[in-house]
Amino acid sequence: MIELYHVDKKYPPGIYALKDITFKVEKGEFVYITGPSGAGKTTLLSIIYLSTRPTSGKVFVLGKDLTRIKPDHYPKFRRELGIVFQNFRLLKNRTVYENIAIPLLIRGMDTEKIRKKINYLLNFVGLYSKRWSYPDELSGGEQQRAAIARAIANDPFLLLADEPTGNLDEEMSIEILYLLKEINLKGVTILLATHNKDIMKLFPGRNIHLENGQLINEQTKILD
Amino acid sequence: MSRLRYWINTFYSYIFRDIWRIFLSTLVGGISLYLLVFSVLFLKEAYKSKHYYRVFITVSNKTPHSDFTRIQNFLRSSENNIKLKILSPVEKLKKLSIKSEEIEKILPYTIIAYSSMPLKLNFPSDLKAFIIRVTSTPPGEKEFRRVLSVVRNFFIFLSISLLFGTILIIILTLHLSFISHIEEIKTLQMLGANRTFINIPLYFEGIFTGITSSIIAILMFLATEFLLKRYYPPLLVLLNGIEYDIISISSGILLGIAGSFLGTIFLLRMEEAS
Ligand SMILES: Nc1ncnc2c1ncn2[C@@H]1O[C@H](COP(=O)(O)OP(=O)(O)OP(=O)(O)O)[C@@H](O)[C@H]1O
Ligand SMILES: [Mg+2]
Repeated sequence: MIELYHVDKKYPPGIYALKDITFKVEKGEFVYITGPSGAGKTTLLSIIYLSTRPTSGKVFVLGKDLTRIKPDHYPKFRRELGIVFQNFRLLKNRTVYENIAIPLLIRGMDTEKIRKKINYLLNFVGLYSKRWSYPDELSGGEQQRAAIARAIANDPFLLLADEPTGNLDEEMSIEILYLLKEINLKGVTILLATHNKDIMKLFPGRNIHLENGQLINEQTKILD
Repeated sequence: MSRLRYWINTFYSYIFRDIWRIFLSTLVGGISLYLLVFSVLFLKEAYKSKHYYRVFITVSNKTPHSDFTRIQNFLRSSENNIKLKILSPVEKLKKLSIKSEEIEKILPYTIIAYSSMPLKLNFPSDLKAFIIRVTSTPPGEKEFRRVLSVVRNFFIFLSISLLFGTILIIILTLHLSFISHIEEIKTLQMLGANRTFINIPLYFEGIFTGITSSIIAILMFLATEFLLKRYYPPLLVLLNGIEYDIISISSGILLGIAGSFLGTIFLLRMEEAS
């Protein structure tokens, strides 16, 4: 479903954030993207959600060549994805409820359907009692769960999660992982960027390991 | 939660920043509008001075109404092609609540007669008593040129540069608020929002800024006009007629809206290009 062929991303003045990346992810997979800070995990995900253009190479999602999508069609493509950003990116001046509503509003869903959907999502991520809180009034884990609820609101076929357990304690991280696994079991493909090794021990899975922008042999790094 | 509600909330969270800038733009906008109105009036007078003999007939404001009408009729009958402009500031001054004894001390009636031929006025003797003064100016190419150059070199230049100033300040205001929610815009883009969805609250904001600015500008304009007329009543001769108020009010509102709208479009283009 996701195919990358010899993808390079070069930032001026010549730093390679990604170098010759080639891999494939099938539908319904749960894939970790790991590597030390600065390895290129965020860059890799941002190429898939069209926030960054690769310097060279080809990227296909659902058979679509991403380098050929016109900027006018970016919004339509992104609406099919769910993204959990590394720094949450919740809108500060909006309640949890409104934040989760945004993808649905963008889609133009009607008010009553939105209400039902959001109530379902709030219960799913366990934030129903906090629905009228603002992001600043939430703990890190709660913000993270709000971000996940927003990412899955549109029933995406692909969820890109960038460090969704960063800065969280172990208990909270495990809770988030259960949530993501549950989403995965519903058939959503998940790419999860993380450097939390404990999590990977508890929830083993395919691992794409990056170092200095280069792909290190898959699988071998899971349990080191 | 509906889209409209979302947009209104967004707009509400954007607004009420940089209020002082709105006031500044208003100040500049108000002055520029005022000067523009003056320029129009100047030009109008100038064109008349080019083509017509103008006779200013100053009539006592103690003249009974019937006699004042007779004076007008006499003027109309004295020449085929005559146009009269009657300036009777008494009514206006009453509206401005200036006491009538003061009015009488201040201002007589003035009739301006425009005619393509020179006028020889021999008023009937009973009317002559009410005529305070008659002055006459021939059509003057020279005078026309002089007025025109004053208007062109000073008023038009100044008012147009001030108009640009207003638009610039509106754009700067929008730019600041734009920068302050650029993160939010980027997030919305990543969530798949298209241009319309993102821009609508920005347009709300732009138009709100525009309308607020122009309304304050208009209030300032009217207040200035009021004060000027009150403390320098002869200005009534120049600032005569509701049409100029309407022109300036509507152009103020249009200016505000146009400025904000163009500003918003401009900024969004710049942002997309980057
Ligand atoms: N916009 C940019 N301009 C220049 N260099 C960039 C830019 N974005 C990322 N980089 C560089 O690309 C490299 C990879 O960055 P990236 O954010 O993908 O790392 P990461 O693996 O997500 O790290 P972390 O675990 O800290 O989030 C880094 O060296 C970074 O400095
Ligand atoms: Mg990162």
